[in-house]
Amino acid sequence: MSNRKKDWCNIILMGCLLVAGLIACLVHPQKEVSVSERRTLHSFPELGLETIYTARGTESFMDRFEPYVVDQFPCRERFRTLYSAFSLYVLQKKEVNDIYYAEDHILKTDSEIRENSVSWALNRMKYIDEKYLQNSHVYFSIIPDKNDYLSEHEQVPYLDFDAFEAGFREKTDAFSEYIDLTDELELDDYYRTDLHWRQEKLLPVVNKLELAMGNYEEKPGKAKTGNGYLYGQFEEKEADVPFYGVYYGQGALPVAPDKLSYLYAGYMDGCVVTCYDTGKAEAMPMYDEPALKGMDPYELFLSGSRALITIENPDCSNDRELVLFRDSFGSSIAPLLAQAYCKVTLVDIRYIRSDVLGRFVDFDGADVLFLYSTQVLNHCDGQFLQ
Amino acid sequence: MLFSSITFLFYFLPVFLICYFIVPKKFANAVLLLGSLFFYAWGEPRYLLLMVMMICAGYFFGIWIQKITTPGSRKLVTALSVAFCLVVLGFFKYTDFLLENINRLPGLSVSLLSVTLPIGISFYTFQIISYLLDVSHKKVSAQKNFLCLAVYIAMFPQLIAGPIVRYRDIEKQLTERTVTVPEISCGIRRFVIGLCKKLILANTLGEIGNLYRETSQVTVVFVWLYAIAATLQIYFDFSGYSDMAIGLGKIMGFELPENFDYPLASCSITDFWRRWHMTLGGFFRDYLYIPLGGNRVPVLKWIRNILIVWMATGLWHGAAWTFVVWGMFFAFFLVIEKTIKKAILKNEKVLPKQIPGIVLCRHIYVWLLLCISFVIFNATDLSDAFTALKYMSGAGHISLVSAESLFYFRDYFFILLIAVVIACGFFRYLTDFLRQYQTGERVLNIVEPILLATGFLICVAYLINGSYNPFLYFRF
Repeated sequence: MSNRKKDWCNIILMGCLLVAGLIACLVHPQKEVSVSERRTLHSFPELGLETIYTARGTESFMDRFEPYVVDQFPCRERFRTLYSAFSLYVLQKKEVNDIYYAEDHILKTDSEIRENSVSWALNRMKYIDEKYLQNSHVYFSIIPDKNDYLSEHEQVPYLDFDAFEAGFREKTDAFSEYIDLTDELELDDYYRTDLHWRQEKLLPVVNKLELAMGNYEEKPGKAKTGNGYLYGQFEEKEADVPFYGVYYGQGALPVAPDKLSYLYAGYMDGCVVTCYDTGKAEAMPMYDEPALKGMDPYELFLSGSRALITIENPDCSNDRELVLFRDSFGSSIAPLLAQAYCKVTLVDIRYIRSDVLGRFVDFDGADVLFLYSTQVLNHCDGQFLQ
Repeated sequence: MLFSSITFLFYFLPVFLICYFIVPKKFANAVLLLGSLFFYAWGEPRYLLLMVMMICAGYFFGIWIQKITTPGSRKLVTALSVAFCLVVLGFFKYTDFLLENINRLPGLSVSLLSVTLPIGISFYTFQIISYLLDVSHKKVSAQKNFLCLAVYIAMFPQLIAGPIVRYRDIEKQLTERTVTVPEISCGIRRFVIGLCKKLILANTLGEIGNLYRETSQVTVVFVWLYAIAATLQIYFDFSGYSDMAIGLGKIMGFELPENFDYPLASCSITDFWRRWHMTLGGFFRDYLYIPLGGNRVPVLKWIRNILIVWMATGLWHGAAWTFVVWGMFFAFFLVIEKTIKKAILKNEKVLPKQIPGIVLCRHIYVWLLLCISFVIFNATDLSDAFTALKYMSGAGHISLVSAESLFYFRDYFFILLIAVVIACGFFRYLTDFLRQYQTGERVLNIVEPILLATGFLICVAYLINGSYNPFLYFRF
């Protein structure tokens, strides 16, 4: 190709890219949310004299315009994929946006123990114990992150779970019994594209928790396993939509989705699930099947993040009650724990203040389980409400 | 508004270029000025008036200086006009720095004014000063056309972060410039290369700095990784911007001066400063160092001149003691090198230049000093700088290496390698070599448009991924 032709190619190509980009930006319809990123996208900022000449420290129209045009850029997801692919395959980076791919899983790097967060969590747990739990059986368990189960740890920095756990146990052993779940889980017990564990793989975890909390009453139809008992049999049902977990969106690379399954047993038909978030008791399903078609299919389990839910199991032969202080991991295990209790109360102190719990929850004589994932405990400063 | 933003690339630039090329030639400067004022107002609406006021001051002072025929009065008015510019610059840039240092004195506690630094003030003020001094020294005639002078000072390609353009270099182009297809193509190439340097290289290397600041496990390896990355980041960030500015200038028919000439391939600090931010170096050489006497004075005065110039160079980069120390650091080694060179020139047989070992040692020496200097440059304060230097030396009770630092070394190794190879000019030598052959030239001509378009799209991907993205020299 001659120099002249090359020059014209450069001009035409770049000219087309700029003009096509301008036109695409102007005509592309605005989106309100990004499903892959699970957040609302910036909309066109307010335009006026007062938004152009703003006071010092206040964002002007111009400051807000760039985030808006970036969020609303046409083919945004394709460009994010291009970025990830270029970083991983051309620049040979191991992780992109703190996301990395290993052993057929998408994972997030989080290698540092954040002492502020640990202190905050311990502070909240101690407060709750001192205020409400003097007459309760208190248990505590940390759900390991799936990073902990990678066979090749040296690939990416990872949190020292043993040290993390030890730091908590040092302060919580005085008021709670720790339940170690490490041996009950493995890498494939978690979704490949999400941080959560799979409900259909949780029976050993349920078993361990129930044994530790003293629920080993023999019942007809029980299935006896290694070191304990399971109540009845569960049927595994598979959702008919693919599950693209939260890490899928963050990583932006095309990988096969997960299959989302959930466990069903007869006692669930009789369970009454109630949500109190609006201040009134509102019935809700244990498995919210319409949520499978929403932004986050994991909200199938107890409709996702809620401050206060109760599950009453009239089929339970005892009068034991469980109060579960939990994060989103608790949503999928609570329906399974409900088999052993006449009432399970799920509390998420990211959405309800600890000092008002006494108005809504009766802790007297109940089993109380603090069950949190590593990620939440390591990033809860400011999230767990006062 | 920054060049590396969606707003600039897909909103401002296409609209501006369409308007610029559609209008008759006689309106080109008006379009350029309006576009530049809009560009500046987008980022700094409050200080647009200040820039216009400075342009007016430059215009009227220039004409006034030219009208004065007596040398004494001419010098006085020149000094007045330069002082005016420096006072404005000093007020916005150094007031709080001065007050902070006054407050260090016992018993004093003066409230800071919290003056916001207007974007680009260091650049356009220096351009006005160079124009006035050149008029005073009769190197150029004062520009009577206000529009032309305003375009020179405010044109957006070099407004925010240089290069510092001398009026005499651009005088003719303000009124007579032609735009040709090869120049536009060359401009596009420079612009896209600059964008890639900034977004792909500089921003990725900047991640290492963020990781270093956030880690609780500082190791010797980590701090050196940071130092090398910071050196490369600053180079690619600043040279990338200069490339974009030069590219945009070419597209519009302007030939802006080069600002970087592969400085990281230098074999001495003296050589480095002949290749790094050449327009700033030239400004201080011609308007400060030479008027002070340069090196044609006794040794002590020569050292004084070096110290003054390098203190000014440091302070120009920012109102903080780290920048002063950074400048003094280079002053020290420049004096040493010039002294050694004088000694060598007297004894030419002592060190033959071309022994490979000597050349390698010199490059290592330069890189070592640059890494140390840019750690100081990048530090938040002197204490932070001192701590980092302590860690670099292995003192400070830190480990040599950790799993985390090894991971990041492996993770960023390839990009560091690419960055070093590019910084040392490998691709320039490769393309120059290939262009010697017809086949090589044909291949390059086919590959170039594809690479430019691909590079541009990857840069857009970086912007989408990262959102807002300021240049390092944004504070100048």
